[in-house]
Amino acid sequence: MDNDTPNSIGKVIRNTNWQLSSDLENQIMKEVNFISSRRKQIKRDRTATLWVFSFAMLFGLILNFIPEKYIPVFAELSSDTIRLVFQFAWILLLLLFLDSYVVARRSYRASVR
Amino acid sequence: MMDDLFYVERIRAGEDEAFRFLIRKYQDYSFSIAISVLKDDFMAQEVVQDAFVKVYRNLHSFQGKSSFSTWLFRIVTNEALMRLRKTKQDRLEFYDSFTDEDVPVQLELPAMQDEEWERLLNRALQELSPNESLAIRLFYLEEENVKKVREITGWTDTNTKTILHRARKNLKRVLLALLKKEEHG
Repeated sequence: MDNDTPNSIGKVIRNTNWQLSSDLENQIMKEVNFISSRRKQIKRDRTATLWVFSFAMLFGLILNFIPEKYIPVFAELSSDTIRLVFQFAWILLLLLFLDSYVVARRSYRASVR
Repeated sequence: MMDDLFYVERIRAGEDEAFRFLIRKYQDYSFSIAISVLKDDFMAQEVVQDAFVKVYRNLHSFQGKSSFSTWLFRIVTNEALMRLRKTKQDRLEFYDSFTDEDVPVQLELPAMQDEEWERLLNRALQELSPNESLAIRLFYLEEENVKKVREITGWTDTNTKTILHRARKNLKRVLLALLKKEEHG
């Protein structure tokens, strides 16, 4: 088609683009920054959740190895009760951890999409 | 292309401001593509905005198999065609009624100023059907590469060539009509 006309239609079309009248660049960047900050927030939340529950589980593990007589609260309880309390706490922690991890992962994926 | 990939990597590394470069570089091209399909400033603008946001969201999935611009234009084209389907403003029926009669193969057009040409061509492109003006716009944006037009639009090879052929003929026809109108008016 370039040979069709002395002025070369192809050249003119290539150089003739509609100019955006509004400040679209800043509007897009506003959205981009919003998405970016949301992603970072979710990432931070997820990291924080991981740390908190890792510490909690580590703490529980350490506590488990300390003889009961050194812990005044436990000294008065029977060993069966203590075991029960620990088991309950561990299951609760595990469930909370899994729940927050799944929620964080789902929202992260949603933000990426 | 190297430039684009460099900026894509920077964005992936968390430097969001690098996206500004890609917006500046491609916003007018993208707008031209969108307006070719939609024929409406406001909708085209919305489509460009949505397309760029989509590009940013999905930048992790860009593998660099095609150039960044081809990938971006494909997203813009899809968004524009989707919007067109939603608004049901497809004017194909009317323009498909064009026949090839009386269209000269070689078109002799008078010499004109560049600005005049730009104005006339933009008007002529606005008169073409969405598919035809899109085909013409992409064909010249992608340096007359039919394969790239095919990649962006998702049309088959034969379909692309047919639409392009028809688009060129119709563009000539519209240009002739506009010139005649200007001569008389």
